[in-house]
Amino acid sequence: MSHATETEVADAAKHIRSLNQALNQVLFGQEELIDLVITGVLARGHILLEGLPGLGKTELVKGLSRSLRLDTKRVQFTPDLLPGDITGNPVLQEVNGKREFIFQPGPLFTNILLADEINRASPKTQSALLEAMQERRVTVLGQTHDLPKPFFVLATQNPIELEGTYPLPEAQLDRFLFKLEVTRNNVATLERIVNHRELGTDPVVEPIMSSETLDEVLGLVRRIYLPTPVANYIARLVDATHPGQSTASRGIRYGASPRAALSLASAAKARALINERPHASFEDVRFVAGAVLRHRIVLEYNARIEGLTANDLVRTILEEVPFQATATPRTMVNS
Amino acid sequence: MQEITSPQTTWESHARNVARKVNLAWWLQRFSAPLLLCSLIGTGLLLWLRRQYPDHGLEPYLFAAGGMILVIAVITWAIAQRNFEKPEQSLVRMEAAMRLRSGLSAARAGVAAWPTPPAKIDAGLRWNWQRVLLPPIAALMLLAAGLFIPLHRFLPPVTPPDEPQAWERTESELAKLEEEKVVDEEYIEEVRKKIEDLRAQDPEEWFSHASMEATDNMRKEHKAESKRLEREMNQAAKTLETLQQNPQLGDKEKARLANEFQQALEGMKNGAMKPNPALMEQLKQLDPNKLGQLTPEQMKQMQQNLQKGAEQLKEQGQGQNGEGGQGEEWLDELLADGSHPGDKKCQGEGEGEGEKDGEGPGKGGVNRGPGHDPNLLGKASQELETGDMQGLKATDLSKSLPGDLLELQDGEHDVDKSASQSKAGGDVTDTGKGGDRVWKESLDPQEQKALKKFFE
Repeated sequence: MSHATETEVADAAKHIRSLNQALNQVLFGQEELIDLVITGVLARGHILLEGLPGLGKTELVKGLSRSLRLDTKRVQFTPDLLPGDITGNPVLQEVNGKREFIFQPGPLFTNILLADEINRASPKTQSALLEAMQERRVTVLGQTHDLPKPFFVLATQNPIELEGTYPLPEAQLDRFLFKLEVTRNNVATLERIVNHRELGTDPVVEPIMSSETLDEVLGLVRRIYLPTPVANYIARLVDATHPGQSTASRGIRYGASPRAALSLASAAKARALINERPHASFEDVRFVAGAVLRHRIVLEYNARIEGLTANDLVRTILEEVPFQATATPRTMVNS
Repeated sequence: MQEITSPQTTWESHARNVARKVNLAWWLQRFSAPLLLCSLIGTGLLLWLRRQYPDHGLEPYLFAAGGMILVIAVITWAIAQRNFEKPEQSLVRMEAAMRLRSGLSAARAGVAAWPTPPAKIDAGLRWNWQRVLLPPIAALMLLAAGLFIPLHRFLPPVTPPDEPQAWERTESELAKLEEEKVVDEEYIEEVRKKIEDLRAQDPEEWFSHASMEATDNMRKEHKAESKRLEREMNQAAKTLETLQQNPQLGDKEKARLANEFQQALEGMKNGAMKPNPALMEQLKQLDPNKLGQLTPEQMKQMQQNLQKGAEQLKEQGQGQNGEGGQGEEWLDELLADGSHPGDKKCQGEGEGEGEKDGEGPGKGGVNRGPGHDPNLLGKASQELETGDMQGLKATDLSKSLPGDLLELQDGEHDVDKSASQSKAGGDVTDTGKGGDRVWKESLDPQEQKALKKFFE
């Protein structure tokens, strides 16, 4: 597989810039969030959005689907939702005089699935998503059904009102490429929202790229060159999340998995493409590290008591692990 | 004309420089600790060697120190090679420091073009001078101290001094007395205890004034006691001998002899050094007034016992007298012409009658004694008259001057015969009167004397 050329990257970057502008018209004042969502999509990853109600999570997902001309389905997860409700069920039908079970696809069979308040569904239903997210196919009554391409899950969860919720298990969390925190807006942004939006009406979003173009761009991301030193940096970062491997890891009970390293590499490539570069860099890894690692590390009880968060620990690890693999002798100092 | 170099060449050249710099830093880091440690040990070794072999010059030590540093440098270089950085790794260091977004790594992989080198290429490293310089400077200072600090020559360990000979001599005498059972054990133990007390002092104090004085006293007492006991025993033996040889003595004479025996016996009893207990018991049982009643055999036996004890004590006394042998050279020197009483020269008998006075003692005759050596009391001094000059003979030439003379003068003491008068209490100095006050108060005694002489 040949590496992406600077020309190809420049062409793709035009589409990505347009997409970015379009989404910034949907959601005001969340430039970094939009950047990361686009990065996640280009890296073919699923995204977990965490934030209070009314911050525009659903709007962002809807805007993304419209601008990419992708089929979108939304499922409101509730405790009584059953796996079949999202994967689909075989229904007994009469075909040519014979009765047979015909599979009726569920809402999973779409390009972008908006799983709203995913933590309200029972673990059984949450687990039904595992195969779909990882292998992009569903098996029902022994029959495997491929999901349409591309397939993204953009799930949301509310960090408050945790009564009656089922926190996502680590295995499922690991399948999300990013966990993004949607923060509240400042006054200027709020004023802009009030001036440009009306309650109950959706913003108008023009389609930016066709599904073919999206396929090309996604293919280009894979061809972005990942230099060996950057790959080494990713490996050292992930290793540093494990207890005993770094100073910061003293507050960590379980570190990130190899899937996290793959996610970092993929996201760094996507980020390089967004920045119009045919190769990923240390800075790209650093940009996406928080979103990739924060939901993949399990904190020690003592660290939680001390008020530390996963974000704090990831930040400390990023400060601790240098870009270059070779150590600096004590007879020299970094200027 | 300036040569145009491609960005790749520039970057790679800088990468090589950075790699060299980092590798040198690694070597310095590995070199510092062993250098410091070996310098510390080497300094101690140098000081010891210089003290042991002070005649060797500095060159061998300088070469040894240089060799040691070279060996450490080579070994630590080999160890540091494990951490050495390659130029491609330095490229990563440079792109990280210069925020080139992995542009150099991508260019090296042929994925992107080499970035245009900026005016200043920086790998984000600078020397930590404290760590670079301190250990070598400290090591050099240590070695310099080991090479150049002035040292005293090595002296063999100080051996404790030999103890005073008087102690050993006294102990051998006591051992002899003990062996021959001449005197009481109690006395021997007492003297031995005194010696032990002296010996228990710090060896450096053995020859102190106080110790030597105590030793001298002990020796003198011991000698005196030996002499006394010998005399008492001789006296007693002589009394018994007289009684034995003259059984027909008168009562008065017998009483006198009994009294003499009694006194000798009392002397033996009361002295610090007593005869051996067996002899003492025999003597105690004797009644001095009934000495005449002893059988001749008893008397002879007693007399022989006493005589034997006295002779043994005498032998010891002679041994004691001989002890001055080596320490009395001064006496020999004083009597340099051999006029010592014991000199051979004086002991020979002359043949025929000499015309002049002989040097040795006379032989004696029927009605005169043998006479004595005219130089018995040492060399006769020259007679000196008033005004005679005599050259001084110096024994220590280093402190004498040629022509030092001694003159005997007939003079009188310089006595101030001026009239004295009574003074008020507390006025102890005579400040003189009138003009006298000036010179008496301000001149020193010699000046006063000169002034006084001038006006006389």
